[in-house]
Amino acid sequence: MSEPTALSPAADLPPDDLLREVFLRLPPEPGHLLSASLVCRHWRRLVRDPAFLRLFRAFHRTPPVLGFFQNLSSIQPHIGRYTRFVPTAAVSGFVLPDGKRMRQVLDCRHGRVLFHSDLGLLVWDPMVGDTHYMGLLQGSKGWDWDFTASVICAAGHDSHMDCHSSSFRVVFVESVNDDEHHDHLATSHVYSSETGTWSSATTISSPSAVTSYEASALVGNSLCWLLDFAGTGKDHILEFELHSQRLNLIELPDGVRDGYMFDIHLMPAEDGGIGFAQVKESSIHFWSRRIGHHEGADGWVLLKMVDLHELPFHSLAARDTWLESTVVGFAEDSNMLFLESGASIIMINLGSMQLSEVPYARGSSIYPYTSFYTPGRDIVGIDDRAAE
Amino acid sequence: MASAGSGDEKAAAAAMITLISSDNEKFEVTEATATLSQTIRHMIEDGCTDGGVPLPNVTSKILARVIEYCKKHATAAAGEEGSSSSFSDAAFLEVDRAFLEELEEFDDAFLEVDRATLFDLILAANYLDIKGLLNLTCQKVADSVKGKTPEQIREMYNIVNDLTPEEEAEIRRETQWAFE
Repeated sequence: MSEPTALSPAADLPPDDLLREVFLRLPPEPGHLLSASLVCRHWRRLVRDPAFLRLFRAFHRTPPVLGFFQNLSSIQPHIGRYTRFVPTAAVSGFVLPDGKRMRQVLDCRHGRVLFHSDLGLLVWDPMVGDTHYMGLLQGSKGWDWDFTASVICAAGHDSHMDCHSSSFRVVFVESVNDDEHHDHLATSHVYSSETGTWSSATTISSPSAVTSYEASALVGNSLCWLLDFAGTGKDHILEFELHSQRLNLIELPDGVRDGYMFDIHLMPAEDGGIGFAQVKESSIHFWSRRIGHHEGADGWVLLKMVDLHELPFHSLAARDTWLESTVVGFAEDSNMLFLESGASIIMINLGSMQLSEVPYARGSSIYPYTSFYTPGRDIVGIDDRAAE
Repeated sequence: MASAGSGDEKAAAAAMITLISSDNEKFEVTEATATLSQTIRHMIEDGCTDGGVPLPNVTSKILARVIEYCKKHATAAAGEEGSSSSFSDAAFLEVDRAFLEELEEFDDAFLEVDRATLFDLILAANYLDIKGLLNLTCQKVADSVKGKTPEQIREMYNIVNDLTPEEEAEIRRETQWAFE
């Protein structure tokens, strides 16, 4: 297609309401609106207008996946454990705050990343650049510590498409051995960014410990973590109900241990319940927990199977490796599932079943980051100026 | 195509509307073509189309293009309606796909215009409230901006950069995620 010829002066550009119609149709990856915002002051004001950005998000509906964070360890002792960001969209990458002090990514949601660092827990907004340290909790015990934590937006909006300026909460859960009863005690604490304080704890007895190796799943009003492999007896999910602030144990179906080697990925099920997914015999299995459903193992149903042979892997290199892949992540806001084959990571849009490959990436657990363009701080001082 | 033909026959039987451009040129179109414009549809519903519909914001050159677009899309819409009852599902899907492909080709060719015409078409689509045409033309401009650097966009649209170098440098520091 030919470009329109560059002859007409700027005055011929359509009026503002129609320029907005044009900007609305830019792709959702934030670099496009950022470029438009750097063209001139006039465009910058139009693009950064909160009303326009609301329209933009409504127009595109699904925030784009910009990439994912992952925890890695180097065999070189002077590097040790580190975290990195792998861009998948038109972003060049994020520079981690306090890079060397970051021990581990714990969770990633609603535009924010939760780290465990030498200075305690840290919530970071990579788009805006804000960092928020929450200090070390009493009793933090270094590497052998069984804990996990999740970050969620605390604003009451319906869809979490722009949480960058909202308050947030961090739910922290630690496990301690209860030698007397031969099990574990899981204790939750909740941090509020508004008050800057941790709330009092709730405790539940659990058959195994929490771990910090997998992202949590937000399902309705509950955060869910996979508890460690129990060794004997049933395996469980730990659920934290955000309204009541209660911890619950949810039994997993028997087949999980043998059928999926206990390597499952928690995610919201298509029907809105708590779910998990994993690849088995060349298909992705999607499970859902039905409340009040007493047939089958504890109300779990195998909701859907997607045959990997039927996905358009032919466009990818080494297509056969995908039949043996594993589910390593899910972006809740973008409905994007991540598989790892040993050679690369693939993203599957569960709505359209479109695939895209991230070459040379691997890892057993990833933390997808999704965001629309967000204007961040008003560096140039344009937003406050009255329209000319 | 048979279904397109039946659409034309149906349209031909319908009432004709006269559109009058800003330079006083008169265009006779079918109601089916004219009512792709919500603005004109409302005028017809209000019975204000006797003696023609004056469109003081649209030149004859642009109105001719807009009518070309509406004719094609009205025919396609009528063809789809007509075909749904007389074809099996598979045949209907086939016809449907053929229509969509033909429309896409038409739209691509339709957009091969200079920038001034493209902007005029956006203005006309907005004034006449033709959703499909507004979407098509705005998307064309968005596609021309997509993936371009601010410098390239300025050059393409002759826009003067009134951000100071200091401001630009500051923005780039704060949004390093977007730049290498």
